[in-house]
Amino acid sequence: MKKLLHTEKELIEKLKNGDSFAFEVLFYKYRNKVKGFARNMVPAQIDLEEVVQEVFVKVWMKREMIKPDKDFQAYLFSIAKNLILDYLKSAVNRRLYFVEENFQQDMLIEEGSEITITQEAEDKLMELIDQMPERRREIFKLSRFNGMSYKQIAERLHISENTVDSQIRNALAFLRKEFRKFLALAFLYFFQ
Amino acid sequence: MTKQIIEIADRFIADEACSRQDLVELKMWLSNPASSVEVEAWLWEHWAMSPEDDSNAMIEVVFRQIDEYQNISSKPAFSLSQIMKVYQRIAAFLLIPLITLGVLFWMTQGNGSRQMVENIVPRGQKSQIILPDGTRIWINSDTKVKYPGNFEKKQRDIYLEGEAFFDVAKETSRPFVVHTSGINVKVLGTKFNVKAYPNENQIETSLFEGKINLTADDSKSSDRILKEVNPGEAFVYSKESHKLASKSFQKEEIDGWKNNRLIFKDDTFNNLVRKVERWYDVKILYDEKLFDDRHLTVELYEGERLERLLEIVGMTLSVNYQYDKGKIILTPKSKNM
Repeated sequence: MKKLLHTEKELIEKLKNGDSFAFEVLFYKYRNKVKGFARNMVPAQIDLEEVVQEVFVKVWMKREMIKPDKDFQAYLFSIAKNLILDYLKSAVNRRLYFVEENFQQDMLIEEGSEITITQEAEDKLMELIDQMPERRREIFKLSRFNGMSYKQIAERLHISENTVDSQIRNALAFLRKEFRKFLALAFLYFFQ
Repeated sequence: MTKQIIEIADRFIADEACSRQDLVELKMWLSNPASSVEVEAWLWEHWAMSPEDDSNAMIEVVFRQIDEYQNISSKPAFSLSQIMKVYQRIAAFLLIPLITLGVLFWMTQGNGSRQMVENIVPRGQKSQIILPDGTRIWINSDTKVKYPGNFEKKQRDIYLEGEAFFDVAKETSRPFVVHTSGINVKVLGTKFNVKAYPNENQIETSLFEGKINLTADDSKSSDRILKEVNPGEAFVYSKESHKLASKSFQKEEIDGWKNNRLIFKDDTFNNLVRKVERWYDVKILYDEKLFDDRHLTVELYEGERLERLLEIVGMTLSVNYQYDKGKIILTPKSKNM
C-alpha cells in the first residue's frame, strides 16, 4: 500500500508534466469515483459516462494547476465540482420552467384543465427539444430554462433579436405540434 | 438559513418534490457568489460520501475530445506517436481487420515471379483475415503472415512468424502448409493454432479439429513427416535441439487470444512478461533471476486495462511496479515490508 501511494505521487507529477500514460493510469483509478459523485448529483437523464469523460478532459487541460504535494482528489474535485454545478444549475432551471406555468403557456394548455404535468410529459418535451436543430435548441433553452431575455440572448450569440424571435416561434410551433400528438396518444392510452 | 437551503438542495438531488419557492431559493444559492463557499462545502460533502460506481468511460474518447479542443486552439500538446498509440488501442478492439498492414511485393520463385501478400500485425493489436480459398486466420500481436495473392495449383503455402489460429477451408487435392522457421504444418482442412515467434526458442502447434502433419523444414526432405497430430493434442518443437515433445493442450488460452482475452495458465514469469509486452505494446524491465520460480494463472477480459493486470500480478506475486518513461519496471517486494 505504501508503495502505491508513493507511485501515485509520481504519477501526479508526471501528469503535471504532460505524461499521457500517467494520465491514463489516473483515469482508470478515479473514473468510478467521479461517476459515483455524478450519479449522486445530476438528474437521471444525464449520461454519466459523458460527465466522467468531460471531467477528465478538463483534468488534462488544466493540469498545470496541479499541486503535486497535495492529494490528487483535491484537484479532481475542484474540476468535477464546477461541471457538476453547471449541470445542477441547468437542472434547477428546467424544473422551474415546468413548475412555473411557462410550460403550460408554451404548450397552449388551458389553465385549470385536467392535464397534469407528469414526469413522462416532461421527459417527452425534453426529448422533442433535443430533436431540434442545434442553434434553435440553444436559443430555446437560454430563453426558457435560463430565463434570459431575447435581447440578452441576441447579445450573447451575436445575432439579431429578430432571429431570436423567429427561432423561438419556430421552436414553439414544432414543440406544440409534436406535444399535442403525444398528449392525444397519452389520453387514448389512459381511457382504454 | 444555510441548514434549510442545504435541506432543499439535498431534496432536489434526491429527486424529491420541491416547491417553486424552494427552486427559486436553490437557484439563487447555487449562482450567488456570496454563497459559493457554502455550495462548495456541500458539494465536497457529497463527493466524500458518494460510493464508487463502475464506469465504462473510455480513455480513447477523452483523448479524442482533448485532441478536438487542442485543434481548435491549434496548440498540439500531443505528439503524433501518442495519438497513434491511442488509435492503435481503439483499433485493436474495433477495427481489427482494417488495420492490418497489407504489403504487396514480388517474390521470385522457381517457376517465375508471383505476387505475395504480407500481413504485419504490430504489438498491441490483433487481426483477422480471410484468404482467397476461404481459409480464416486470426493473427495475434507482433506477427507476420505472408502468402501468395493466388495459391498454386498443387499446394497452399503460407509463411508465419508469430502466432496465428487457422480455420482452413477443406480441399482434399490441395494441402495447406504453414511454414515456420523450424517445422511446417501440413493440413487438408482443420482448425489449429501455431505459435512461432522468431525470438522464442519453441514452436507450439495445437490441433482443434481434423488432422495435421508436422513436417521437417529442411529443403531436402520437406515432406518428411515428423508427427501426425490428433485433435486435442499439442506439440512443441525446440529450435535448439530440433526435437518435438508433446505438451498440454491449452484450449482456453488459444480461444482467449482469439476473442481478445488474455489468459495465463500456470505461465512462467518470463512467458507472462513477453505476452504482456506484445499485448499492450509496452516494455517491461525486470531481473529474470529474481522471478523465474514464479507462476501465475490469470484470465483477463476484453479491453482489460494494463493497470489492473499489474495490480493482480503485484498482489499475487509480491511484485512492485513503477512507470518510467513508458516502461514498466518490476521489482520484488521485500519480505519485511
